[in-house]
Amino acid sequence: MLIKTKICKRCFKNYIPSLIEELFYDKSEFCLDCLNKLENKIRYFKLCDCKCESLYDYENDYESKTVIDLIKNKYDIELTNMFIIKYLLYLKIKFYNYTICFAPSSKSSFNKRGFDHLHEMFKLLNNKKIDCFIKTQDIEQKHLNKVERLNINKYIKLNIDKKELKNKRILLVDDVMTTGSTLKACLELLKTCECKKIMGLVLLKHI
Amino acid sequence: MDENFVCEYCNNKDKRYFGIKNGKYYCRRCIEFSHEQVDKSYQINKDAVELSLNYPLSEKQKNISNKVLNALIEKKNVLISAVTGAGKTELIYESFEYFLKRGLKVGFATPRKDVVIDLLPRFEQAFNKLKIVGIYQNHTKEMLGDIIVLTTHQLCHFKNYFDLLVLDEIDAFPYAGDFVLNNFFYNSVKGNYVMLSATCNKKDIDNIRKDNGVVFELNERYHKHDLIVPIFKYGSFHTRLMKIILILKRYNKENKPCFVFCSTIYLCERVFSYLKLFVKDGNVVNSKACMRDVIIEDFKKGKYKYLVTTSILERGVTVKNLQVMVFDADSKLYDKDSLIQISGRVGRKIDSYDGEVTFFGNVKTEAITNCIDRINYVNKNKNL
Repeated sequence: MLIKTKICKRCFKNYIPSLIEELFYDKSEFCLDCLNKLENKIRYFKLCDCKCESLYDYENDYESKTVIDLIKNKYDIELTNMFIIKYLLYLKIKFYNYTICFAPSSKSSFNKRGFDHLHEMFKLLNNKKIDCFIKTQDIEQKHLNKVERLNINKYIKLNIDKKELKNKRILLVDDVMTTGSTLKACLELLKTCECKKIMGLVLLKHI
Repeated sequence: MDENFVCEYCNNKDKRYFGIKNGKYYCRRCIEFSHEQVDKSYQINKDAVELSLNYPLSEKQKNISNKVLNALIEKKNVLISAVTGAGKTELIYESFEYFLKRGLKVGFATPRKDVVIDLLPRFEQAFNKLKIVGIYQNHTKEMLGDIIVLTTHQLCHFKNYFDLLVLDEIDAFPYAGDFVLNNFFYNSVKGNYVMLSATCNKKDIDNIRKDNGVVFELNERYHKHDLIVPIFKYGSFHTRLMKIILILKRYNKENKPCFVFCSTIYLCERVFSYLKLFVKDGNVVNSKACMRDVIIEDFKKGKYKYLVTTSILERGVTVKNLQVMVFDADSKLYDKDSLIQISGRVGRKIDSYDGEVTFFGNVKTEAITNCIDRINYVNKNKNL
């Protein structure tokens, strides 16, 4: 057979990748129908005077909500690429020589899942990656209310030497942004490290 | 990696549904369901088992009820095919009593959440000293009880648990034809199962005969009156609306509640937006409507005179004196079975066995003629 068929990892149906998909999403394992269900809405905003952007909306978008729920609560590792794949070329060009810093996540949920969902989500970007933050207490934010979430900066600390980040372009990434307190705390810490440039990127944002 | 990997929850062997995590296969077909299992050490309160029915069973019901119990004692599976409103639920009370008195675990599963809510008070009445638990979406805090009434989705928590499991409405969406739900059902049965249906097809009958089972038929309603034969009326969109408004006004005077079925949610909203201008005290119910439980509850209490609804209310709902209209019976979404179920909503109570079922449409489709033929056939052969 000359035509290669693939199996979509979201709807489990066979599909034949079109030419555009072959060119731009060659590592994609999802059919275009499933990918197009995610509404791409890039939003630009500022946090602590740093430029940030989000790729999808969390509210109003049923598909993105279900996919992130499958990854984080049902431990489905195969879907992790789904958010990045549409923006892969854009992200590769825009953040060409940036170093990716991951926002901290709680250890207990990592043990339950068996994989680090943030690392898996940004696996397709070839940038240098460092895990520079650590949570001093194991807190899961989904049980907290808005006021309690604002105190999260007490528990976040730098994991590595500040010199390692000096004169580097840093891209801080996270999966879902609700109040922005985690991102704010991380950005404040990064600002003390004399980086060349700091930017933020979140996949899903509560409007 | 294990080449012969089979999912322990849904028995899936198809490789396209497998994912790889940390060098091991895992099943992605049933991943939406939680795999937390309930505590199996729950003890049933044997002394409190007491069946108290407000009304006696009819002779035929008693006959079949006995047959079912005997078949279950012989460790056989049972399929009961009975017409709508025949009192299928009452048929298994006797078997429930027998099993519960011996401390065995029983459960009642159905694909629809609304049916679970509808059934709970009926079970509470019949077994008034036992603890009866209803488990459905967003209502999963309490999982253990003497009798468990649940949706088929929640069977994922009860692997290898039930000594007797009853499944109502086997041909209803989403259970029918769903691989995962079907396997959840078979996996949660430790002993035997009973299937109930008003509109079962040959395939179900064949399947159960293969699986060490027997089939019982009951073609008579509890009150021994005929099933109501639907009337078909032609009309375009607006003439249909006019006719429905006139009929609704007549029902209002006679103080009869009414369901107007529409095939899609969009059509549902659109029809109601017209109807509410002419007839007061109505509401819409569909799967997207919030507070749908509250609206249905209010309807049963008599707060609303009519409801415009999609097929969510087509099964298992019993309202006294109900009349039914179908706005677009010629829609492709309605097949013979769902039309039979819809017309089976009417005349279910012993003191209100009469009623009207009206189908509207541009064309008389095959499903409509088949439905009317089938109801006529059942009415003729009810003494068999």
